[in-house]
Amino acid sequence: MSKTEPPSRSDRLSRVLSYLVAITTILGIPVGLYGYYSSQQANRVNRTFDFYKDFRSDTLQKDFSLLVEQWNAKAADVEALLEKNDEAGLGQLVTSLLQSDEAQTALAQLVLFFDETYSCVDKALCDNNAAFALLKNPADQIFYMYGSYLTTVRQHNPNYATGILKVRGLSKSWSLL
Amino acid sequence: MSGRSVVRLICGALFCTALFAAPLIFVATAGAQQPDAAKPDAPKTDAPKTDASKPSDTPASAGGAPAAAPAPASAPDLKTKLGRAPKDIPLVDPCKSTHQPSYCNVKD
Repeated sequence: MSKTEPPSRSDRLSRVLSYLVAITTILGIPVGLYGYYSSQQANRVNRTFDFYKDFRSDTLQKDFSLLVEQWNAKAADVEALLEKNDEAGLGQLVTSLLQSDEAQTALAQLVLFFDETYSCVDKALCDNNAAFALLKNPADQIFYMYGSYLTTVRQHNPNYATGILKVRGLSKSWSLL
Repeated sequence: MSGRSVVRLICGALFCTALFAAPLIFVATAGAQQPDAAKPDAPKTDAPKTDASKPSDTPASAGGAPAAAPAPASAPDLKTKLGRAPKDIPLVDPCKSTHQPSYCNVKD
């Protein structure tokens, strides 16, 4: 029976290096994947933030302000109608607010903006959580004010203002990144 | 173990390290290049735009309710992420009213 020789110095070095290569590979793959997905996620968040910046741009803020100002100007009437539980009256009031070309254009711009935003989120090009944090509240506000008009139009054209409804229906999703 | 094997192993280790460090470096660089505006919670150090000169933009001018009084210019917690004061808030929210209209429950 032959005696096993103690491993030489170069054998030990070889083994240590082999372990290092294995450890680097095993750790490197998940780390590399995580890095890749993190960069993708950062791009999605940036894209969503670009939408938010568009929303905060002068053009859309002017449209949004116009709609809110018109609504606020009728705040007392709205409260009175709500107290009487007069939904039809509220619908007529909202429709009357949207009679002017300016108001119609403003609402159309916002509807288009939210359609584009939701399309981006839906196709996973934008981040769901960033859209939830930044744009859900404005979508809610528009719907609170002009929801009766939007739902009336949607009865004839179900695709109208889908973006606003979808964005206000967003919920926070769990994410590793 | 021959010298060639050792060299091969070292090269392999270096190659693996470079291969997997590259995405990390890329991510770190991309993160460092993100503008401050992309970090919503980062406090702005430059002077924010104040809307104090535009009283007509405030909800109070339209409806006059005390809840929508213009924010004092020195209240940094009321600034939004782009340095604007939170203006244009609907004074009446039908969906939070006791007589909630039916459209409030519409879900797409």
